[in-house]
Amino acid sequence: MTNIRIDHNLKFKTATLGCFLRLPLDKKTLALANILAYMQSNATKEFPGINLQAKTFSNLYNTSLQVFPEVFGNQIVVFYTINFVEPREILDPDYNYEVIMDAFFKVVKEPLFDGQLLELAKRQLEQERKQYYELPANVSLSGFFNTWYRNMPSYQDSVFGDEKTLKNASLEEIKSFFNTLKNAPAFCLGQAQDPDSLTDLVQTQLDWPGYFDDFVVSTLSLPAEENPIEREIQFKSEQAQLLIGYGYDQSLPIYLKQFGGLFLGEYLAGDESAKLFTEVREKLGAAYAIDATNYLNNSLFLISTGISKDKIAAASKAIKMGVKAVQDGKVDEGIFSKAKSALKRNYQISTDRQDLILIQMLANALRGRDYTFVQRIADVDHFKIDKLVEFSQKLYFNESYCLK
Amino acid sequence: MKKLDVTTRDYKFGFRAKVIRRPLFAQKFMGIIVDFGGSDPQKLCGGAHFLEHKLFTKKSGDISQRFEEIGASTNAFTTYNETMFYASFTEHWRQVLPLIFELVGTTYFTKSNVTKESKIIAQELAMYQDDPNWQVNYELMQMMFPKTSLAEDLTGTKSSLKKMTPEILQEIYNNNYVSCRMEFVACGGFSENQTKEILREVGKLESKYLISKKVAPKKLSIVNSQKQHNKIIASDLITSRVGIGIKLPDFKKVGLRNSTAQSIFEMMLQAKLGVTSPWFEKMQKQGILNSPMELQVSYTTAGNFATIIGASGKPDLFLKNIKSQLLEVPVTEEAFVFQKKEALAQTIREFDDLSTIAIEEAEYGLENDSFNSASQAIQSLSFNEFYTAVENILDKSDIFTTTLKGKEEAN
Repeated sequence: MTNIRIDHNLKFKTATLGCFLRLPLDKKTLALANILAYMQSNATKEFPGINLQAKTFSNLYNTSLQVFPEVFGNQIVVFYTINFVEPREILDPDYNYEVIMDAFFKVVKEPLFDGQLLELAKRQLEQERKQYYELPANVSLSGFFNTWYRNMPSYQDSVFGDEKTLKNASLEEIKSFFNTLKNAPAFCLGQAQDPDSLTDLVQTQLDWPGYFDDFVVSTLSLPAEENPIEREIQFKSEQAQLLIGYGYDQSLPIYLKQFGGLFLGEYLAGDESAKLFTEVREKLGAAYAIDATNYLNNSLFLISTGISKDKIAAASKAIKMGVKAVQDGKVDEGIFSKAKSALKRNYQISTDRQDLILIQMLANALRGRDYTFVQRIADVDHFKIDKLVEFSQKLYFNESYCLK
Repeated sequence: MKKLDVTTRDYKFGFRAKVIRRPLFAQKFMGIIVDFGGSDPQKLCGGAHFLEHKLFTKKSGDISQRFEEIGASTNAFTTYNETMFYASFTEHWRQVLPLIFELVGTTYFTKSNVTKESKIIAQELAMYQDDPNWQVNYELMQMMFPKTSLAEDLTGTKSSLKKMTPEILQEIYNNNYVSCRMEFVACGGFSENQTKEILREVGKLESKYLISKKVAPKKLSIVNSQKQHNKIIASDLITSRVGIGIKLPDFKKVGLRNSTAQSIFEMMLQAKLGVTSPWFEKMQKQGILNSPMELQVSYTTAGNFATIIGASGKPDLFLKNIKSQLLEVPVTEEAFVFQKKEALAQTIREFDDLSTIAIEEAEYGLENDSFNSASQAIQSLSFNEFYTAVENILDKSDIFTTTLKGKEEAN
């Protein structure tokens, strides 16, 4: 059976479709995937000029085409996604599913292996990489993850991939990578007002062997290695960047690590009444914003903030005390209840976002389940304070990274 | 094209409310927009933004927490022209509605809470300043609109933040937060009866919370630019960052509504410099430009302008090419048709983003315009009208440039 699922779109004026191909993560593969993605975004065999390809999609009522790799735990997923205005909203006889899909699959399946195009993609990536590292928040996040995976170099540089490959990859390597990609496990997912017609059209295009393979990954998350470290890096900037990371056991039950992490993030740094928001921003006046995010696929709970350089020590102490209070069972019931309402609201509003619906479909396909937003909301509802405390007690301090 | 389903009601003293119905969506949105923003004249620069922060503080504490108690999330933003306070939620709209009016309609400024807030805003400013594009934009504004609110960041300066007092904030509030300069907007799956109920309640809340007094309409002021039109600054960047500022005329003097002129000029910039233009491909092939640029067109009371910011390893060639493309190469009819298609698609897409569409409708409202009529104006535009409008605007424009010289170029 082909790996395809296109759901019925009842409320959006646009349709969305994605072909997702997955490969095991390593730095070199990620770099090659980035180069190929840039090449395909610029031009392809059918549309051999940058201007020609851009105009083709612009002419299809500004159809949005995106090609990029994204890291999910120990996997790279190459995204080929398209979002377009539903033809019945336009009523142009020359604009229909057939012409849109034809253009889309020409891009996905027929890259143009051309030396000039390769060099342009490399230049674009080099510039994007430089611009990415001009922002202190990006420098510190990348530095944090490279330190976190200092003993697992395959998992470092997880945005752009291996720098040498980005500079030196040959056309032959890109061709060979594309052939590997054609055999990688793949899934096509989407949402449209007429899912049956779209499925019929797409089905005929999905002739790569990966669309008939098992797409599910039994263990997606990377383990965290307990090996605490504190690093301070000098950097010329107005603000300091402080990141404090806690690790947890990869084999914790999924319900505990997923919702424990979500609740802890919201409890500590979600809305205005969140614990660290009041401590670090309101009381210390040290920061404009503070984030607490559960990186489920990295077995990492990360707290980060851009902060006044003279308040690093005070903020660091407040963050660690905030986590410790939860570990000691000192949880404010009022803030917990607000965190629960906020998480439920966020899931409810996610059903209004086509991009999030597509990501949920992909996450389900990777994990081999059909876990809906309604079920997620029910699971948030059932989550109790004792579970939050239990999750926090599984956390161990593992890294402090400060760019100042 | 289908129209946005909007019910509008005008109240005494010029206050207006709009309810946009979008069935099937879970999210609901309510907000009040105030026709007072960072570029408007104010006692201290950054005053509008400071006020936006400080209105969340009430005698009973942070009002955000009362929104959270009923499952709503609240926020605000300040632009050049306006300040907007809003809430996003899925239920309990009857409780959210009065909270929005209380948020905008009551103040509690003390010396201690103002001093504390100035430190938080200083961190917000520091965060923006860490982005190289910030400096490019700052230098362009300094040249185009010296000694105005536009010449500084919307958040103010380190010095203005320190000078802020409760008295200054209250004065700015009293002068600008008046009902005739505000508009309420709601968006979501409201029924017709709920729409009527909302509009009825808004009338009561407007009388209860908002100041009703007549104020003079905002006027576009004439600002003399600096004589210096081009700046080159050394930087630690690897690749140079280049900014082009185009000081634009009063759109009314070229016979256009602000929103129409803004759209036309944006379409022109996209057609000439965007990724679908032959020029962009040429620049990529020559290694002058690798990635798309940031293009922005704004109208404000301190003046109208466009900014173009891009990264280039060959900044001098980049500037030379962009100027000649802007001033010497006309937009073709084919490119215009593409731009109209893009605009139509963009309008349709916005129907699905409740927050964006509510904010846009409120912004149009301050200009006595609407989402539907602004979209219609662009869709009914002929190539001749477009061409003439672009010529008229460009004819009265002035160009400024800033280059943050990167190390690649220096080498």
